[in-house]
Amino acid sequence: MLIVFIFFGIITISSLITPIKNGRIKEIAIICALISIGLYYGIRFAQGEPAWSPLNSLEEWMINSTPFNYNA
Amino acid sequence: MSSVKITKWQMISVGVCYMIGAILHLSEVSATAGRDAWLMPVAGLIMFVPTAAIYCLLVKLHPQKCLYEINEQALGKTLGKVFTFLYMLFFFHICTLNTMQAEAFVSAYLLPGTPVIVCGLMMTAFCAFAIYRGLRAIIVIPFAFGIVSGAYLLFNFLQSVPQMRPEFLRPMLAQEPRVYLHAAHIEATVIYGEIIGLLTFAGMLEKKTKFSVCFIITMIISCLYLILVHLRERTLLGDLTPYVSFPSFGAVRMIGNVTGTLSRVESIYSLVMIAFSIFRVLITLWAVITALKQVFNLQSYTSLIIPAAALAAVYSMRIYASPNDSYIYGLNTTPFVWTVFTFIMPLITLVFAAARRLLTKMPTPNTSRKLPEQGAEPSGAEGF
Repeated sequence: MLIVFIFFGIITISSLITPIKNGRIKEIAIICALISIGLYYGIRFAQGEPAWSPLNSLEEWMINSTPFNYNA
Repeated sequence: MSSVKITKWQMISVGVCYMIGAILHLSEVSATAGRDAWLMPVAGLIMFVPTAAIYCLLVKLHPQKCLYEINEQALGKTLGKVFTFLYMLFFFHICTLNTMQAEAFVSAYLLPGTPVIVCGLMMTAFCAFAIYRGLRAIIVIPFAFGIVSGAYLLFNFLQSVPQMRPEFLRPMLAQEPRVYLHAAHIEATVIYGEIIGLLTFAGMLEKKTKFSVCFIITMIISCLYLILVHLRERTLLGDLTPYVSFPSFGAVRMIGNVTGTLSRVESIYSLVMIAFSIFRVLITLWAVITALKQVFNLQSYTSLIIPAAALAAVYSMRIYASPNDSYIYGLNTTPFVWTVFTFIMPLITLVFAAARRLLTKMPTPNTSRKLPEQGAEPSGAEGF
């Protein structure tokens, strides 16, 4: 599994090469952001801990604090 | 506007394959409506009619534009980008949900013991490659695959007919109305509502082709297919349906157990299910990447494909603690959350688009006055 992670990590980072060559700053920033978020989720997965996600948090809040759920 | 053009039947095949990909998510409807689940695709479709009308009107008001371009045209640049960003989150959520379901299915039934991350990475890598190859690959896959697998699914259904027990469907419509409302809401938002992903292809439709026609045909075929799937589930599994994790697959396994000559048909069926699920991941991943391109005004999305696919694979492992959590949320809160993205946001866009159109059509004070003579210099301040 670690090999798969490393392999995919290398491919992901390699997608930075073309934007760096062409000096496309916006693309570099977006790819770095995607990699960082991916790393966060990867680490949380490795730790066996839950990770924050916007829609899940919204659903959790709805199920606990609002009448907008069929469990209420 | 994209240079790639898609025909009516290509659009319909994309839509139908996308909808059939929802087959792994049908357990919520089966669990809610019980023996009447097979009627829920029709109830859900009726509930979905206003939403479908909104989608068709949006495309009619903005021909040759995709969902994100429509947002920017109707809502203005800033609000349009905010909406596109929210849609991106929504499609990313659907993409990872589908990946998670497919991973769970593969590691439980197809390749037991395979780490989910390996399944997820393989699926998203395939989708990334298809998107990298271009839109033609995304469109050609369902057109060729849809016909073959559609014929197989029909054969598979006919094969199960002798084992079906209609008495499992009785008594019909004997539950509380709230149950039907709940199930129809799930069907309309979670199953049909995700068809909003098809609007990302609306800009590529040939000029002479009407989006509404494609959309209606897609919805009717999908509805018929969902009815058949629910009917088979219920008539083969009976009261066991809510206790089976993937009821449509569980029903097909029953055929394998009963018939002697053509046993183990579930192996082909599972491959077809996985292929449709991967296609659903592919469409939603495409929607995410094109949304990113639109939000950040990028020239090309090629370099974003692999990071986005990798993130989808990793995120799919953490999206819920387990597929059971996804099932509980899908049953209780997801229909409400999805309503925001599939109904309220398109409705706001339509209201803005209609208001813009009305304002541009309204006669300005200039028109009532006498027009300046030919050759006379136009005055910029006139009319203010």
